[in-house]
Amino acid sequence: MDLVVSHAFKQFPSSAGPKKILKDISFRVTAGEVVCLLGPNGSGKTTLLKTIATLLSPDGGEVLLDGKSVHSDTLRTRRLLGFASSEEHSFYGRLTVWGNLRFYAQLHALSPARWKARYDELKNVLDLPAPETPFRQLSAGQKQKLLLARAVLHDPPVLILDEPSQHLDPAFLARFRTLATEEWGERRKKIVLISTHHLEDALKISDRWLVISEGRLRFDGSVSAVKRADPAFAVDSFFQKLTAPEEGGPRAD
Amino acid sequence: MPTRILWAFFRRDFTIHTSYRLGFAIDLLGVFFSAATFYFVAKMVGPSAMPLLKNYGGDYFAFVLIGIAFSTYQNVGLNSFAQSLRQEQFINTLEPLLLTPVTLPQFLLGSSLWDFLYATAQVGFYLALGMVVFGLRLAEANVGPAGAVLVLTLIAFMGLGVLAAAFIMRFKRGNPVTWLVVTASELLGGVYFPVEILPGWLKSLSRFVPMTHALTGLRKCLLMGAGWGEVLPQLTALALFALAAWPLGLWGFSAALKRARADGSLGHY
Repeated sequence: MDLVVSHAFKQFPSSAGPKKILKDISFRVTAGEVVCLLGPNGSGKTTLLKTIATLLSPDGGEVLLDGKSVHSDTLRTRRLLGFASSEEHSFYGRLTVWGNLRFYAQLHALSPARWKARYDELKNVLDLPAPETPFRQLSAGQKQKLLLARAVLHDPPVLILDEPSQHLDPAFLARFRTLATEEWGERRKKIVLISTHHLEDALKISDRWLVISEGRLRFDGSVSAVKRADPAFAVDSFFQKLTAPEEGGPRAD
Repeated sequence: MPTRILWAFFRRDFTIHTSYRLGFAIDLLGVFFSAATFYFVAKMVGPSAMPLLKNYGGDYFAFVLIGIAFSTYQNVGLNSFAQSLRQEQFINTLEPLLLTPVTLPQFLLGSSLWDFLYATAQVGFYLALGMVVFGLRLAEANVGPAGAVLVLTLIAFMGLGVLAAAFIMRFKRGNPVTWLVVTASELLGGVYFPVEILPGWLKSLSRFVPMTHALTGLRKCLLMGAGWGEVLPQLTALALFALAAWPLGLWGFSAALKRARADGSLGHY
């Protein structure tokens, strides 16, 4: 399985005319790869992830999952894809942890037995709060874990995670990195695309970075390769150079 | 349509709704006070309304109780989809829902299922209260044709409700479909008074309001014991409304959804 984004363009209407958010973005991610998507605030990361997840339609180009357009058969895409948004409040406050996740499990057509087994598994892996806890009583970090649980509930081969590490405590963050790289990537051979703006976090998660700035892909490659080529490598300045305004900034690989 | 998906929506909404116990109690009290109010209005009107109500059994309380009870379905049919959609946008759950492999009809029907069943319970409560407390008589009711009128009424209003939801998806606030249908129904639909008292031109217009046919059919069946043949005009009119409303509603909603995916306003409210 592979995920191909090919010449994706996206713009939104604004009072000052169409605002270009994605400008000719292309990349490919294959099964078992864990890739970090980085960029400053407003660079187009979330727009790109939502376009892949079919929540937005591209104005140009296409997104292919295993050779088929994700937008032409959205029901197929939604079965194959798990998406964790950066919006932590996207659950029903009056329902419990169990009630919320069971609702989405049913929409993903998990049988009661499969749902029960899946819940037990996720409860341990993601350290979920007690099932009877109402969602409105959860802390920000607990809500973040629920977002992750919802994304992986139907065990999809593709995971799109938009800033999944926010609100997570350091201990769980380390656990999450292991989960993403070793369990989902290496062992389960999932395609994992993780957006973040924490550089140190990204270094620990993946060697392959996609860096976008002002809607353009400025870098797609191995950070360790850049490090080897530049003995004076410093991640902060590397990132700043990549995301500098377009005229003076470096081009993507 | 997989019942498991509809059941998931129903259980979600049942759990959420019943967690607001005071709201539940106030809804029931609302039914009681509404029925009581019109009971006394009917007493005031008394036998003077008899000639105008001769086609509906002659009792104003029975006439108006059926009008207000079954207009609940109009409200649910028109508002349920749009309100569910707006609520999902407001609490940021619309995007996660649209990321599940649920089809558009499943989403629309599922998210309004609880509202329809709750409205049915409210209508039942209206009628039970009317009979037990206020002396409503439905001894001659012909339940079969009444059920058919009700089902077609629901289908027609649900179609209009999907169209109303399309406006909410596109414009977030401002729903001309609901406004137009509710306003027209109040004036021309015969909820509170028989359409026979309207001037000729308004009476002609009332034929284009689904509520007119719904309430005429229901009153004929429930109060006069009318059979299938007697409500055939109403059944035909409601079927035509349903046939027109659903394709229009689904087309409108699909177009609004496509537009929201294009301009990024899916979760906006």
